[in-house]
Amino acid sequence: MLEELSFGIPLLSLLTFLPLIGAILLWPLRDEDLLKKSSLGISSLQLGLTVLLFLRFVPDSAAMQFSEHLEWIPFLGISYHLAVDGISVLFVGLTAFLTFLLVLYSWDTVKERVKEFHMALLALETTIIGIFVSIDLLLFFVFWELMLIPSYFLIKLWGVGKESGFAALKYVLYTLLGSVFMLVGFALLSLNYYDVKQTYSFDLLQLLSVPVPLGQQLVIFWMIFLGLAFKTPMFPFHTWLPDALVEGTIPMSVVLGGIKLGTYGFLRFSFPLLPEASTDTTVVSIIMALGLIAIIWGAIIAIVQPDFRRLLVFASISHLGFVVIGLFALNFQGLQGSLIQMINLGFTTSGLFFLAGFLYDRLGHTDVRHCGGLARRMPLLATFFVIIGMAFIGLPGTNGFIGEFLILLGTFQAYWLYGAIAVTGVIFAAAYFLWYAERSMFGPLREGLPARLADLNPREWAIVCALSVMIFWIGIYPSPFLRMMNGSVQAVVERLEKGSIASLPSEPPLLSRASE
Amino acid sequence: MTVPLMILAGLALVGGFLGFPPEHGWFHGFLHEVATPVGELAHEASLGKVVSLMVLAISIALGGWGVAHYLYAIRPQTADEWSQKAPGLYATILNKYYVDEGYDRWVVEPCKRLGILWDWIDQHIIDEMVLTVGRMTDTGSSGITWVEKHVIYGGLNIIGYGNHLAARSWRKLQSGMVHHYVAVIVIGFVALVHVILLWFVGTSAFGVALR
Repeated sequence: MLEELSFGIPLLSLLTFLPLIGAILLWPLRDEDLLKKSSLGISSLQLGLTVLLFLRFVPDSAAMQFSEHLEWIPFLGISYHLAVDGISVLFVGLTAFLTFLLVLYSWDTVKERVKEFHMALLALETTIIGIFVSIDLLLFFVFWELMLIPSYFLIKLWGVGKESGFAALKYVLYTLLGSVFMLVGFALLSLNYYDVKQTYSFDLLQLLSVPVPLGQQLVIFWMIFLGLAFKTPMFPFHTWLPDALVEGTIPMSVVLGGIKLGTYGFLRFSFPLLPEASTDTTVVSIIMALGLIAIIWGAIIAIVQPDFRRLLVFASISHLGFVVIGLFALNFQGLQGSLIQMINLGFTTSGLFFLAGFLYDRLGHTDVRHCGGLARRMPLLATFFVIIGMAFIGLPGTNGFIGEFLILLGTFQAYWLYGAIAVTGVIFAAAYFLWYAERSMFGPLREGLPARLADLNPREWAIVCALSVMIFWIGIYPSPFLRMMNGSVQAVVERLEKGSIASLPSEPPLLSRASE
Repeated sequence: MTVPLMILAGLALVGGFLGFPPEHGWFHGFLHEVATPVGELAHEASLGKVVSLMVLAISIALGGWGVAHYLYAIRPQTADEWSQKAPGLYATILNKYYVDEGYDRWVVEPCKRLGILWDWIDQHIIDEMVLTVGRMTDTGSSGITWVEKHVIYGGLNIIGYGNHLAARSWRKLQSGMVHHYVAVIVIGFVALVHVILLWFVGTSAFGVALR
């Protein structure tokens, strides 16, 4: 069992529920200015707490840290068990960081139902942080489902498209469908635990201590896979994404595009709990194939999209393909690359969605057929567009390079052919981004654009600068981030190598126990 | 155009040395962070090999520069003479072996067409499957709503309406007149006696009287 470290104050509970408490406190406020400032205050405090979390986090360790454990429903073995390790800690920081930027972004872009917007955004932050800090499967599931509620309203009520209601419903129903299978998978894991220990448990750390027969592992793996693949989204379950991100509001696109919940789930639950199923040849071949199809499919479709937000959606699908193949390379570099790449995409995909938002606020669309030469009017915006875009397509010196390089390294080590196919995705990425940048930003100014096109205002400037700092930090000096995750990634790799049955030094194997 | 070229030339001079020496230079250190776990294998190249490769590369570059200088500065007419002697070769080289045209035709345009096709498939086949499932649910729930409304509620309504009709005709029994009620009680009493006698005796007084 993994070592657990606790901390003097319940920092993770605080991080999880502070935004929710903040959202409730916003309720009675009437003054819009005070409301926005309070929202900014809450998200800054939250960001400050994550800095404390990072400072006190022990790097190069596989331990579950800042652990908090309370009984919740004892007779079903459900507990309120929070902890972070190298796999989840960076996501907590990323979520707080993006929420802070989103509060800044929405300062004067959200004009209707301002209070409700900030409340929904903060509530969304609570559910997402809850997803990352829960290590009880049912608690995780509760946050996973709760997340849909604020998301639904954010897409429907503040969505820019005419079909935002449809998109919101499609997103909720689609991911809910997958989650149902995942819940069954979790229940089966608990039942298996009951067979061995005569008591139920949904606690990740306890479930890790019992072996699961291979046949059951495969069933459970595919159940959980559906839940995660719908949310990720993986090809061919991705069609809710264009609707939700194009019809929805920019803040929701930033969250859905930037925070990779689905692929996180593989690393958190599927790999450690079901190591034999995760390394099964058929499973790996199928998921590798889906990942590679996603890379090429997404990239080729992205090339021809005239709408930047739709382009970003398919580019995201392509990048998620990279994350998936890195994960299923099942070696240290692959897992490490995928994990850092999920964080990287939180800065780059989100950054480009922010820029799409800036363009949308000025032009009323993001369609390249109706714009061109924007750099002449908005040089700063164009500069950051290229910087963040270059990171998105993996230029050396930016964070995207570190992630893609590690993923490809891992994949080549495991299966060189898959690596060779995946590399083409890098080329296509350059093609779709540079072609769009060339047509929209450079060249002569297109006629018919609004007469007044202001360049970035200080608020927008702060957002893209913050993102660029992270992009170059991880790009040039990634070791603090890699060190935070290394211990846990190494533990997952060992677990995958040894399997669930052999990695139990204190427990007799299943067969000898049966013969006693 | 000269100033940007000069800047680039200066950067190229610096940039070249970032990767020198290949094993322990700056670029090696930069990649060290991410590539260490697999890059442990030592593959040192000898200094002689590195220097000779550099000398070779620089001589090729200088040779190219020399040829260009001869053709364009010392004897500019040479190029024209050659273009007249071998017009086909000249046109091919002038158009960079038509690499761009070929690339456009065989790679770029097919990719765009493939993108349009796949986008269509994505929207009209993959998403259509999702929408079909949605529509099936929609149709199913409409059907169930119809059954609910017309069969289940309808059935309940028929029972209710039947009761209503029965009540309307039977309420005439309650006329409010005492002699009607007495008559009913008497008839009921006679019938009851009859039944009791039939049950316990096997025959009734009416039967005896009739007989």
